[in-house]
Amino acid sequence: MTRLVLLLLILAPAGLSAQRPPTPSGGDHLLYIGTYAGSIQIFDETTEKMAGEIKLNTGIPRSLTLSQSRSKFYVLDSTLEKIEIVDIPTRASLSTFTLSEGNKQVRIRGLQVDPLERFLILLTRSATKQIDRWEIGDIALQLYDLAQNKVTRTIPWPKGEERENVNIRFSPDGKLLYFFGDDVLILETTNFTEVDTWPLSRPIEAGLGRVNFGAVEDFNEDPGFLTGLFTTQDPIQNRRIMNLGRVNLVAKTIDLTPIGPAEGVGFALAPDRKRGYGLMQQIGRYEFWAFDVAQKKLLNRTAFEGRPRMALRVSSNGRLLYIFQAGATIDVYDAASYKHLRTVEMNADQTTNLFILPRK
Amino acid sequence: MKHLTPINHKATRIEVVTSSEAARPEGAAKDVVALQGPPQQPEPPHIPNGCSLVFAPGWEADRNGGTAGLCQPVERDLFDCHMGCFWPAQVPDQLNHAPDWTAKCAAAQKDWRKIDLIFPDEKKK
Repeated sequence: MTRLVLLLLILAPAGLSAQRPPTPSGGDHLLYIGTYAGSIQIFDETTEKMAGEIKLNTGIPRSLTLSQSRSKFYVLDSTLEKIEIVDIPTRASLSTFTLSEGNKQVRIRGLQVDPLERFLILLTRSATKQIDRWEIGDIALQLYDLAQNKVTRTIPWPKGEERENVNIRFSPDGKLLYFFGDDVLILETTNFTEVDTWPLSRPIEAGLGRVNFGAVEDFNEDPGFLTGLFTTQDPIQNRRIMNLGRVNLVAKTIDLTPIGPAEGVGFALAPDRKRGYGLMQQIGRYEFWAFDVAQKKLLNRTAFEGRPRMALRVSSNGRLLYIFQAGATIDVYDAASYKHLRTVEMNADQTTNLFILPRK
Repeated sequence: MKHLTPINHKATRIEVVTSSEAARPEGAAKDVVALQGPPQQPEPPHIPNGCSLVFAPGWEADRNGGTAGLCQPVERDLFDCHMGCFWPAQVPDQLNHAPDWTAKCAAAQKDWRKIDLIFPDEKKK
């Protein structure tokens, strides 16, 4: 009996430590990511264990688009033909739709959700099977009305110029649509006519060169603002310069601060918006960069043992960095020391971006 | 936003030149500018999105045209490249003929042995 008590006393702390949440913790939010298992998997940020799953009716997701209210995902499936609307608090699929019918397949190459969730803007191209050939349709911007559940209009291409890819943003109130090209064309969202232009093709400061406005992540920003790394190329020596910048869409302003020569660095803003992290990926050379966003300066850059194809997110409390993409693992790094702490193992490969959302 | 103010004659002249450059109508011919050099980074090889969309070169290539920048092990990236790039030379056609070829395998690095082998349909020949 005494031996049994002793054995229990020895084993008890080991059992407790096995259940203790990992430290340091990234916060108390939930991580959402689409997977090859045809679902959105949910991980508890505190325990780093799987906390649930939203099974999708449309199969493997290719992309998740978060609504401005952060209560719904608009899921594009892997065939690019179907969209599924998922309610995040109830973890329920609300509806699905496709634009394909009969011998006509319509592939959705991109989508944007109206901030008021009245409609979706879809970039589509159709392929119609004829008896002896496929007829490939024109690429089109279509408005899908979420109340009527159908395409209600085709939006004419600004200036009549068709694009294979588009970069579109909405104003926070949903009244304006910003169409990024050489310049930013601003359309109203009732009749989609051009009401203003933001001439970004012109240098915003003499000698600076035009701003290259690529895909900028705005997950941790206020609606209507974008913070990230922007490249400019000066017109004298064609030097490509990396700038830390913040864009105010409504005011049509961009505040840039040169950081150094342009390099391929991804950027993730911390939830407090004071700190930002860069991820440099070159073959065999990987670095974490840290930016002081308030002071607009690069704090440090540190090499680490990375791997090809990575994406970066900052944990909800800003203490951890999550490296994900390509595969079934999320590597967890300390945001201060960049030390690799642990790896979250998933049971399916990732197919979408990672979203970190508060518990409801 | 204006960060720089010229404080000598040369800097003033540079500002005059660059402001006239900025004011020039779009599409107008550019002047030859002293010290203008070639772009610092060479043009990358023409491989659409790093993917092998056709049978040339017949395998996936990284953005430099090689294979050193691809995922390691290759199974890690199998599904993403398959869906995004279609990999027509290497994997079954998931869109039309073999939609379920990976139905028993959601994590390629762990379960690749469960991936189905697809053979040509003898009946359709």
